[in-house]
Amino acid sequence: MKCDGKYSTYMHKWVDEEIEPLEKIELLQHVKSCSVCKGKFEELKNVDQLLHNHHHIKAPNGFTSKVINQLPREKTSSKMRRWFKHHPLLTAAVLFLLLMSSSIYSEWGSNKSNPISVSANGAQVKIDQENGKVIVPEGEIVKGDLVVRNGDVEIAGKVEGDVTVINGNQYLASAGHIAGESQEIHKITEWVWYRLKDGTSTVKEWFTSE
Amino acid sequence: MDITVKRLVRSVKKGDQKAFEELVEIYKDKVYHIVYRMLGNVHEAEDIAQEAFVRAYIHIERFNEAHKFSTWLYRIATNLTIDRIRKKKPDYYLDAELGGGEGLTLYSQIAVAEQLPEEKIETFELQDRIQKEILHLPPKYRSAITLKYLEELSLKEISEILQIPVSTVKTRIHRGREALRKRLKDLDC
Repeated sequence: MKCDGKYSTYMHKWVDEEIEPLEKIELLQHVKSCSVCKGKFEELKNVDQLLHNHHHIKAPNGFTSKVINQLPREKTSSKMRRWFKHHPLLTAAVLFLLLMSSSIYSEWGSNKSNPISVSANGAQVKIDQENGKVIVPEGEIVKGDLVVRNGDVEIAGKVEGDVTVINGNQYLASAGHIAGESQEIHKITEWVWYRLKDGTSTVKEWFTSE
Repeated sequence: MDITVKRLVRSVKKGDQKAFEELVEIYKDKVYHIVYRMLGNVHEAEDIAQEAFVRAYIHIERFNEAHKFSTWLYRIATNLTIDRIRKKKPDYYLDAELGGGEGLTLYSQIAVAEQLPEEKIETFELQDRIQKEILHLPPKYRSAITLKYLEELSLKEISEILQIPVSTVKTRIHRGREALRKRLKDLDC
């Protein structure tokens, strides 16, 4: 006996979980009375299960590298971009150094034409613009550090802190006295070093002041 | 589409090969599975699967990000496979014994995921048999059946991969499965 083709369609819809409720009832009723379709139905469910259980195959070893070796060469720009992406800390460090050095350099460069600048912690010091000289007069006491840029310094009085002369020379009169360190900075390398030391001591101060 | 895949595809479009490597890692097993099931030959399957990835890389600009990347990739793979089947000369057969092997066929050389040692031999025979019967199907049924049972692919996705209407996908799955039902009658799962 040849059954209606719709039952076969229903069976496939059943295994695909797409069967409508009414179709389902119709199919179940039919297979109750038709042994041929019942057998087919069982076989189909069985095949569906076999296919579901059919193993998933894995790609052979070394597959990925073989694919990559066949690709056209990568552009250098994307290699660099990737490097930056994968090394964010190094990238930040490089960027920081680049900006720092350019700012230090420009500060240094601008010194040449700039007028004398003094930071003397409020003490009365004479500034002789014509000769490019700063004088700490006799009897005057600088209570902290003395920093002079773009000029010489002559010390006849007393400095209780450090004396730093950037882009200039320092002269100590016989009566003069420096309690702290004194240094002259002439080259950009020394300037950078000074900036670094200054920076670290500032950082240290932040911590100690806490 | 998966966010990671989307991000990787975007990087590949900018020319990042490292990102493509990750995509290959994600999809290599699936692509290889599709190609192998349709071709039934490990060497050819590896060739075609690799070529599918290389093509995907070269033509990544053509991939529309509004769609699923896997759909696009599987389409490349199935098209290449179908081309290969058409050109294929029947020069060697899967079930032909390898030289020097004791009943060792190419089937048994395939790496299989998850299996228990004691069941190994029986499973191999069963798996080989099913593969053999799939290979007896006409290529258009083979592709529909393979994709249908690959993973949770919807009929709509299969229709997009094969570029045929959903109704045609259904017909092919039904006919393919009907043919397999007749040929696998003797097997129990």
